[in-house]
Amino acid sequence: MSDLKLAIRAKRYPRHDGSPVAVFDDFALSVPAGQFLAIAGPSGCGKTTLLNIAAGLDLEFDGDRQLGRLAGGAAPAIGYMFQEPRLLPWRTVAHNVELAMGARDDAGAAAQAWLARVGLPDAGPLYPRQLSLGMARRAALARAFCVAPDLLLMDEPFASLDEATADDLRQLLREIAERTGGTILFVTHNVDEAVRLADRIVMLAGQPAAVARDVAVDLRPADRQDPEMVRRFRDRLREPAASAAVEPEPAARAVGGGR
Amino acid sequence: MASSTEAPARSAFLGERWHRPASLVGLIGLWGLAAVLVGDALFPGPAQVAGELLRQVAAGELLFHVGVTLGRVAVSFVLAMLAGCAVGVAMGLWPTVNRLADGLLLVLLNVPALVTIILCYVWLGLTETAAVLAVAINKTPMVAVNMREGARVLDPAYAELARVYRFGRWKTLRHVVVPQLAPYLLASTRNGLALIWKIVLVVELLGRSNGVGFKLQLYFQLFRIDSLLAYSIAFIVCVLAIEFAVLQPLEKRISRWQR
Repeated sequence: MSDLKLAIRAKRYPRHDGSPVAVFDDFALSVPAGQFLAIAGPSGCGKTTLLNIAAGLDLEFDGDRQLGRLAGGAAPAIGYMFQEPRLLPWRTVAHNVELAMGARDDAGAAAQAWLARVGLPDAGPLYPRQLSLGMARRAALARAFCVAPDLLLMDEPFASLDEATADDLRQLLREIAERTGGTILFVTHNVDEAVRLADRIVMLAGQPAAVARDVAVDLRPADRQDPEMVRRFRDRLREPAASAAVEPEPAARAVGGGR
Repeated sequence: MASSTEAPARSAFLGERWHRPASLVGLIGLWGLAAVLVGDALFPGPAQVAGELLRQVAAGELLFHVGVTLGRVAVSFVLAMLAGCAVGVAMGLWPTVNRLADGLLLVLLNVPALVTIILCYVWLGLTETAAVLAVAINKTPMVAVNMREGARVLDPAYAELARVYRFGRWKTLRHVVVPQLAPYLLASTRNGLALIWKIVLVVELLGRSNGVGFKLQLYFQLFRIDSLLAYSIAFIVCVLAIEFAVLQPLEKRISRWQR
């Protein structure tokens, strides 16, 4: 697993009229190796941009991205669950998972094993358009985990699913994440979801986006399943957040949190 | 979904699958009737043409000339596809290349095929190279225009996917780029063959001493209309065979994931 350090001095996007809008300005985020970090914030605040920068997809920013190299200097593996499942529609589900793994003799068997693990034991030979959204999300989850990601990026992976399916997938994610133990950056606008899943929650607000809150989630696994406990934790997050949005706590900028 | 109530199926005349063969038989019947009515050696009937066709096949001459022509079709087709894809994709991907090459493309699209053929023969001599090149030059701009459209609609989301999961060049080309270009490649192939096999005959007529085009000119000068028609029919049969044996199965295979 790898730790991730982002130091974004400036990230701008052109508006419709061509004038730049600052998404991030002097923004820093550090994720220790093995941490499950949820990033919450209103839509449009730059969460997806942050993931793309973390993934190394977006290189057009002023600043620095450091992803810890592995022992032996190998480049860390990255898994990315995009906002939509983004399976290649012209390849079967099994082939989609297999392709992510690269040249491995047992890629076929490994892909099948991962599909079974996410609850799709029979979907391998199907094409993506034959899957429901929930099934496609499961397949995308299998693809993200099959690379044994040192850094796993997730962009609202359970949005627009019915609550029961989303809950199943959250449970599954939590189980697999605990066993495989990579670093996870999980973006959501659903604070309850963040509380249930993450070790630490960073809340973004404003424009350019700044860290409004940075808290460790100290709930026991059983409490995470208890809606009442989740609600109480969420409310605790919200109260000071209102003022924090105006005046960020100095501590929130600092690196750290976590376990 | 509300489906419109179907009108009771009419008892199909002869049954649907016999319509195509029936129209063919009808055409031959009309031809025979017209030949009898005209009663001229310059309007031979189907029986006479069929006899001539069999005689030419038995003599081995027809197969040789059809083979030569198909060889030219194949070589110029491959050349035009390679050049057209390279130019078209480059134009679709890079606006600078597009701006530089756009004018030239427009000119080439509008040069009459005959002009290209004559110039090739004048500049390169009455050679095989000149013949094949003339055909390829006629076809290349059309492939380029088609492939440019294909390259323009390549989805960057899949390119991101390929980068995150480290597909590498070859895997990206094979599993991400080519499947998106496949419909355009197929359309280029279809239009390409339709155009090329017509131009090849003109090229042969003007400057070659073998091939179907050469024979057509010969029989034109001799007023041997039965031989002329025999060659035409043999060639049309070849083109249809390619359509049914190669193009249609290929199309089915490529669009498999959409069903």
